[in-house]
Amino acid sequence: MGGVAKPRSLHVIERDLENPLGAERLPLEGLASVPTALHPRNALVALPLGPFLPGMIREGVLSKRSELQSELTPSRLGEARRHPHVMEPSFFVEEAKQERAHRRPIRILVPSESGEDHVDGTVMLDLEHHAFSRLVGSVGRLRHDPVEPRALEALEPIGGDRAVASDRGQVNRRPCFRERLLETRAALRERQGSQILAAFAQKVPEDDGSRDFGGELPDAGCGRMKAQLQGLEVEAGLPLDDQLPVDDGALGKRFEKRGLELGEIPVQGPEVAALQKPLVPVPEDQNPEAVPLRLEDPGVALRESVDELREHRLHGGLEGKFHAGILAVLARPSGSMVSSARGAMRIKAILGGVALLLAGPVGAASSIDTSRAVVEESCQLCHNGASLAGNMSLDAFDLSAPEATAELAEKMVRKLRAGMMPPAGVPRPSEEDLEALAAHLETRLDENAAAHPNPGRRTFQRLNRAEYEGSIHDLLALDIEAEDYLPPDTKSANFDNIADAQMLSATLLEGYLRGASEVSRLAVGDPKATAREATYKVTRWVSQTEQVEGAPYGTRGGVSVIHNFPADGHYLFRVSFHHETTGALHGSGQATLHTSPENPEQIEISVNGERAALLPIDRWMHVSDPNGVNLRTQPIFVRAGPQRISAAFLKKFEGPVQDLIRPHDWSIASTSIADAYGMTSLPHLRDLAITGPYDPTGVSETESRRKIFSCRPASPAGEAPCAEAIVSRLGSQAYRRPLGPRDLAPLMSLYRVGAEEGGFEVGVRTALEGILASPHFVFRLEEPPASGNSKSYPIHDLDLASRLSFFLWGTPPDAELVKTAQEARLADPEELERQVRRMLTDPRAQALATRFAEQWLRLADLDPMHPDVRMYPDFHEQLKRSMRRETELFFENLVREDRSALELLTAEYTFLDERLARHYGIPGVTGEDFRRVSYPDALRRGLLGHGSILTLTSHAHRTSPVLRGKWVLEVLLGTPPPPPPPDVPELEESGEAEQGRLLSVREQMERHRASPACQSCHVMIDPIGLALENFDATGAWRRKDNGVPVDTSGELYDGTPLESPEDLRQALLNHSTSLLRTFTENLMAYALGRRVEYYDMPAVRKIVREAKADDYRMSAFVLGVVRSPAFRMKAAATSDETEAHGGNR
Amino acid sequence: MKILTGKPIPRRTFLRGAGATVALPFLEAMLPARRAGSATSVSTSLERTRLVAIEMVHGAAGSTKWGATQNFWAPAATGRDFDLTPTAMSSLEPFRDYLTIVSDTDVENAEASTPPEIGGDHFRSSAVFLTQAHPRQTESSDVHVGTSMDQIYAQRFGQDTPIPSIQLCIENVDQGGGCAYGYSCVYTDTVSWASPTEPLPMIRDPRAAFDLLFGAGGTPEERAARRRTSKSVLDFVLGEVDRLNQELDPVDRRRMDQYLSNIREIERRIQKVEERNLSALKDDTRELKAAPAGVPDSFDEHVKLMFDLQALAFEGDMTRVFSFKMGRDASGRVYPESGVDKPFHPASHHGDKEKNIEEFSRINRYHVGLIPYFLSKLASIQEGEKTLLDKTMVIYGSPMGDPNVHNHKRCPLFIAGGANGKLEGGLHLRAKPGTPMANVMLSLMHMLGLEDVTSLGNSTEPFSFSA
Repeated sequence: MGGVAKPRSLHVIERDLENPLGAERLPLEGLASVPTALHPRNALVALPLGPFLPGMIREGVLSKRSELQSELTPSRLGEARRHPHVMEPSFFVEEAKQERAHRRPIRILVPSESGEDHVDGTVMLDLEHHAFSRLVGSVGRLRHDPVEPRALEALEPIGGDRAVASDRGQVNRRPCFRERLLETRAALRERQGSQILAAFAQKVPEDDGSRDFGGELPDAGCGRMKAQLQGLEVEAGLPLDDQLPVDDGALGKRFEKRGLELGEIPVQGPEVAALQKPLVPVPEDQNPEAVPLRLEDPGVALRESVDELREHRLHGGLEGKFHAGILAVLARPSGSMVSSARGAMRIKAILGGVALLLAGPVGAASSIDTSRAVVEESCQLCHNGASLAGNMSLDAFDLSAPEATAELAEKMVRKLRAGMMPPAGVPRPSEEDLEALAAHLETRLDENAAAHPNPGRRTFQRLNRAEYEGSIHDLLALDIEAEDYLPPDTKSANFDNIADAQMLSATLLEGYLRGASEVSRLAVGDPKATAREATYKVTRWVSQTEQVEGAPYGTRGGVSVIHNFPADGHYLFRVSFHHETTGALHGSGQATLHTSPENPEQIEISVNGERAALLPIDRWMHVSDPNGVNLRTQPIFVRAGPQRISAAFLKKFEGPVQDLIRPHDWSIASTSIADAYGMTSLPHLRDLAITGPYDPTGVSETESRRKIFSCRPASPAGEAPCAEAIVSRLGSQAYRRPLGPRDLAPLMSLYRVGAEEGGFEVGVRTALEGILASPHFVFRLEEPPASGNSKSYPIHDLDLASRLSFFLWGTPPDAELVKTAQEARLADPEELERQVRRMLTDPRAQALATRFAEQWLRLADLDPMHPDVRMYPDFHEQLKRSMRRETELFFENLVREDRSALELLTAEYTFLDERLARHYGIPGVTGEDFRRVSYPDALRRGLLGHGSILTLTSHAHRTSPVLRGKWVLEVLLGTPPPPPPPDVPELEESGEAEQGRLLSVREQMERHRASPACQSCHVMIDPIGLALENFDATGAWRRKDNGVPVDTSGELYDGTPLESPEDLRQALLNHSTSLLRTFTENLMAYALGRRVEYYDMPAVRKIVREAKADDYRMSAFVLGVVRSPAFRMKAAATSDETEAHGGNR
Repeated sequence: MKILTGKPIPRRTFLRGAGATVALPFLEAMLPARRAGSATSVSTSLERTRLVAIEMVHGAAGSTKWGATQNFWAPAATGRDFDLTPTAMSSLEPFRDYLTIVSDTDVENAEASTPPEIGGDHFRSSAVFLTQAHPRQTESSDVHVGTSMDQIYAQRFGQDTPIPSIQLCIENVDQGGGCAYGYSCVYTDTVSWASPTEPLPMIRDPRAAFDLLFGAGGTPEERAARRRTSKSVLDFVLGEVDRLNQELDPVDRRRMDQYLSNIREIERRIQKVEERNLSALKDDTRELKAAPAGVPDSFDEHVKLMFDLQALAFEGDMTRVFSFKMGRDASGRVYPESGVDKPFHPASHHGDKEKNIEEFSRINRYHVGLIPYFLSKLASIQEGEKTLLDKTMVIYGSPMGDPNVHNHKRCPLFIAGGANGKLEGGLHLRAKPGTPMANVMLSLMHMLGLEDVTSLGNSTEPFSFSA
């Protein structure tokens, strides 16, 4: 007997995040079910509502809609009665747009109809990109024996005057209430009729007549982090799904208070009244089994539970776990009580009330008790198994043993220290209590780490591009561009030297082999080299009015490169110019050349600063000429080795160019506009090609050759011994350790192969090619311990020396360091410190700025930045380069002068050249050289005033408070905001003009933030960026944005009011612990070549703690990292790890 | 410190980039140790058709109303008995038996589909030629068009050769003023797309193409010496890794093992290159005497050098797929050999004047006139019982029709070569009005052995090649 209910499709409606009025059906479609019995209703009730297009006039729509709704609801209910086969309950799939985008299938039971006694499996609801989805509403009452369907029934009479209970006694419902409700809340949301009825029929204490709660409030007090809790709902019981507006969940601040009372606590997993066993998510392909269901006790009437709740509320105090119980009760609304949509709606609201009660005040007790109270009453409010805020549950968290769940505890510490938890809008324990909790956690974690040290481990590193270049430079006195040979480095956790992200691919291997082949030939020189061409491109963004670095004085623009010439011989140089679409030379117009026809513009080709050719620019050059817009030199004799080649225009004018539009530093912003009337432009070099050698005459002595050929065989018999001396010296330097006989023998056989081919030099070159291709050179292998048993072991002194030098210099260790290591003196802490201090004062330590800080601060993001030429006409490549240099020099100086790391935020000085000083509006700086400059005021201090940071966090045509805020949160505080949910429209790209004027960035943003889905996160991110709004997209100071005075006011997530960059700095300084720890974490990751894990955090804290005694000097951090076990030790590979990593490495 | 000018990108970077692009699929696909019968597969797959897809820009004089009456492109008669004399293809008369002309097909996806796209034909159409898809109008990196047919072929069958496909071009890329109307330069710079979002860079420097095909080194001796050295160095690295492996812990050893397997693949490649160079080119005087130094000044010389390389590569079976961009949209180049002194782009805007159209037709004639050089090279190379011309499919066409109005209707297109018997030659087919060029491309793909491909771009059905 009995039938089987089949899953049927259910539409999933997703709120249109941009427009709360639009309801948009997900293409994913939904699952779950609509009983066939609903179909008659479909036919009867047709609502001509929505979906609404953005831009429709909302007021009109609203009144129309409310009108329709007043008609609809009774008709639907009545109609439902006529159709007993109507499914009673509804499904609410709740869905939080969360940090992580993983797929998590949930299942929804199928409702049944008369005659059906069980459900044929479940339906998978697989919502991509949404962290978790939950079923909140009841799943219907599936009776054991033929299911008896029930009709929908109204809780209260609908329409007309009606008494509504409230705490203040009964009030009469005014007839127009519903309509008014809709009208007044128009800007925010629109609600479906039946839901609203449910809402105000509910008795809510302190409902002071405003009545405009909607049941949907931001969240259960967990605030801003999760106000998007109701991103997606599934309305099952209601037909016409795509025509009904869908609740939009979060509200603005106005409803925050109400939110505390009526927020929601989502249910964990599908709660099914009648189900005996918990539902477990099952992968789709596993064909879930049929689940027999039986009916339990009749559900509690919703009203009763409400009363019950109020009782609790009145008498205070609910047990911590109580709300789950309530939930279970509430999840079984009686069929006679409430119609589908309303049921779930109320559940959410009421549970919110419970949550509030839980957050009641607690009495003072011992500090651990206080901390426990904080955890239970603040943290667990949201971070429980049901809510899973931030995908984190503290249900199993034991405050007396946080180390048992160290990873979790570290997360807590991080958020607490950054002042981000509990979020604003939630009852916040006193700062002392929070501090005590954080301190308690840290103490326990640190003690545990001390007792059970874990230095971590990583696989071996390989030389990345920068290290390869550095190594070649050290070894062969040759500057190469590693990008010519090696594939791009993979970054992980900000850095390009993270071992496990460095894949050993075929392309990489080929790259190293090709590099070895070419570099060894370049270094030794190739007297038989044949002619070939090398082209150096000049980007369009290089200003042609300013001198290019490396080019001779008295020139402007062009290009200057160091080219490695393979042999002495003749070379041809060709320069080509940009041309207009029509083919004429760019910058050939009347007003553009500043010289007469008899005295044309000239471009000079120079070798090491000496003029090799001077080519007059023919302004009539044209693409259609036989030579196109190119100029060629006669063959020029150049000696082998690296030589600086410049091709630059002779400077024939001084001072700014006056023109109709304005001086335009960026000389070829676009070929389509640059030659416009009234806008000065200049001929612009496109590329420089060097072809040769022709008639090579041999190879002159070069520095590389001197470095390689430390001896010269006097006789054939002397060749092999000399070669051996060379090979063992080069090999030892390249392998960063002395060469053993087993290393030398194969290299010497390579020598013999080469020597047979072409004599002594070719032999040495072949051996060198071997050295450069050897895994001992390209990999930074570390010697395993002698005995394999211990869990962790100190790494070998020589390996420590390599770690040190790649950390501090980005190059292999120098002779002194190797010597110290060989004498096994690095283990001595004093010697270690001496070496570190020595290395920090060495010029090579600038690698900490150019390699470490550059990556940590993401300066590479500056490269692709090309601010809009019409808005920022004076921005060009040289200025960008100066910006980057400023930040590098600034950091370099912190290291060199061993200053406090806090100066990253507070420094009252910076390093500027004339170009950048002019850009910043700081007078008195002239010339190309960078120098230390003190700021005249407090506006531009520390990194937050650097043009580099401000530009790389902007868009081409405007600033981005979001990117700036995100940069601060991520880079400085180490607490990245979650990524935006998918399908969210680009923030700030909404309407840009209103009433005939452009909106300021702030205005655009605020419009956008009206979208509740975005608001919860952006309220944390944006104020940080808004405080920097006085800096335009290129970091220049401004007072107006699109004609509107810049408004920088805001509030940091911890409540600190912000008005200016200075306020922001001060507010961030309040969280300096986070800043310093983030800095240390990054420094450590870079030093170790692996990501810093939770078990490293005690070490990070120790370093910061100890650095405090040293005024947070840079050396204290560096030494702290170097002294840490993670740097000096290594955990042995466990067999587990071996297995685990086997497959995917 | 690096150069202040930002980063002048050495030409080599571009080339390496190109090299890496082709080398990687090769290496990954070269799992021959595991592929059964790889030794035989090479010999049998020599029968695989070689593909050369040549794009010329700016359409043809014969695509204009008057030009059509003058038969500046398509011959008057269809079928087998057609007269090439008045057409731009007259120089192909000696190869008539290898010539299939398909006239009057349209490249609709090169047309503007939205108002902002209007006028951007020059900066859009090259991307359409082999993809027959409509490019997304963007100047950013989110370019999107379609996978080009040469790449579909190379991805399927290109793994038998050391290099699956090579892309060559004549004109400079990323020209100032070269791209406008909101189109990224890559749409203008290449005709080959590995995927809808992956434009493949085209190599302009013959030397770079040469190195890619035959290894670095200016002379045969030098290349041979380099190969010997590379082999020794590889043996050395192999030995070192073996030795290291005994010292590494198990996790690191697994990682190193991967490196080791890569070494063996590269070793195989060197051997393969050597075998082919030795067997095919050993005592052959056709090999270029010396590797080219760089880009020659003359268009004529440059194009011929590129054809030399293609023939050489086919001969050594280094690759079987070339795409070759002989022009660049809006190019102002003058072709003195054509007898016309007007630059290409201005000449293409003939203003619908008969004199100018006639003049423009001479440029078309000159361009096609370079093809016999290539065809005769292919015809001179015997492989088994056939010549390479029998085994090759050379597509020559333009995604534009009448350049004066930038339309893409009745675009020039012909196919030369026997395509391993799939093309009879000696045939002129006139497509029904409105037939997409994509249909022809689709049929050509079927002839190449991609029978399961059911559509390309806006194709509606395969084009019938029966007379």
